[in-house]
Amino acid sequence: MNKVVFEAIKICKSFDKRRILKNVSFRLHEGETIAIVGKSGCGKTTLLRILANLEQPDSGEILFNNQPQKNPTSEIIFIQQDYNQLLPWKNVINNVAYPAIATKKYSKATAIKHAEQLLKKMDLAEFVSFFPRELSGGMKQRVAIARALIMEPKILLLDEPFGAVDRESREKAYDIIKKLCNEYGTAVLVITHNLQEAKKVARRIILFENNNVKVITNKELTKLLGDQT
Amino acid sequence: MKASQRKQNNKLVSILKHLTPFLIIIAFWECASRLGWVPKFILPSPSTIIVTLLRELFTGTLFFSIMRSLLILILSLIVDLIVSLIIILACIRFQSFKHFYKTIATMMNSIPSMALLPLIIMWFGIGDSAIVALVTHSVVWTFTIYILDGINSLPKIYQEFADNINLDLKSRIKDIYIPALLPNITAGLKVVWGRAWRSLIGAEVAFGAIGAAGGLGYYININRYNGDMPKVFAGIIIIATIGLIVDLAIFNNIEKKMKKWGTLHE
Repeated sequence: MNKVVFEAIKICKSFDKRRILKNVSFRLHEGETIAIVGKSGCGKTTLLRILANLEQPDSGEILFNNQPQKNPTSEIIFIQQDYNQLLPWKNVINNVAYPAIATKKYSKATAIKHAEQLLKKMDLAEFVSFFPRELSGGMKQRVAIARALIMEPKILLLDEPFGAVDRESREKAYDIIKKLCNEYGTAVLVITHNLQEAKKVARRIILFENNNVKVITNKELTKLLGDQT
Repeated sequence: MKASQRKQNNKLVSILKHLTPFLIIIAFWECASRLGWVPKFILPSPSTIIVTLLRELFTGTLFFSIMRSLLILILSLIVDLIVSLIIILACIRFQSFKHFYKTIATMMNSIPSMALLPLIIMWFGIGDSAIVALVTHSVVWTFTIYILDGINSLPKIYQEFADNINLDLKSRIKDIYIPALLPNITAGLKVVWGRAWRSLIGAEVAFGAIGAAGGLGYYININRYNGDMPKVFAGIIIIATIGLIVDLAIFNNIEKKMKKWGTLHE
């Protein structure tokens, strides 16, 4: 097993006295993919937002590389569910290159070169000069993922990125992401509604069920699904 | 017929459709004036106005009046943008000031510039500074309200993206906030540009010539005094034309860009 890059320890969060997350704990290893599964409104997105430090937990701790993480970092990138997260005033190539240029990770020329390579791997090479409004929802999400990967993050948090995309395109997109994350050694936490999909993309699953959160393996999920049917 | 030719013909038809009502009005006006249906000193013919306008532009004082008005306007707008920026930054920094300012701005915004004229004359005298003060009154309240409303409705998703990659303040302002606020900035500028232009001309009419030359408002007023109606009309046409040019050359281009991005809808 690879080393632990990220650890959530007893994360709790309530909204208006309604407890959403209760003592959520898990570890994420380098290059690993974990799927988060549960019904709508059970706290999956809140958990990802807390892990990305875009929201603070009521209690609990997040360790990144064994250090407490209290502020957002470009090493943990959050891809939102919303298809309109790209900057509409920048075309595809500039959207992807922008974080690397703005944070001075690469020079402009190098960032553009990297962005071109990433978009090619994402099957978006012919759309580099398009503006986000000219792309479909699934394509926008792939651009958002390329924009995240240009920062070579240690962790990618995906909030159901292809929710409204057809199954075939979704599977294809996940294959590409998996390949790229393996290449960059990026660990992935991905929210999905679909249990079959969760089984396919991840070896371990965080299951939100009846106000309880448990971490189960791929095999345990298969058994659970079998019991249910 | 080729597609490009058809497109060109359609464009020509569209231009003609827009121009025809104007041409009919102008033709009727010319006839009414030439046939003596209306006295020429009240409504000179369009041809007389055009000849006067061209002569005044190249040999008369009209050109200098235009330049003077534009110069004062640009100076006023620079002052207004600086004042607006300071107010906006203060509102972002201090929430209690923002609430107080919004109430004051809403109250002040409803006062016409001309209603403040007696006060402004007392405080600033009759001079360029008084005109700048009047224009500032008609610009700052409205513009800051537009921008503050825009900041309130700034999509959270862009801010979270900036937070997520630890973007510095300069990049946030330059690359995220200003482009995201561009629809509000443009809408605000479009409104305040019209208000500023009207206040300026109004103030020039009221104050007359300051120093050696007067602006367009003064030009219109002095010619009304002299009973030279073609020159009055020439001044009015220039005021409207400058308004149209600014709209087409500046705002139209920015709006086209925003439509391309999808941040402004057709």
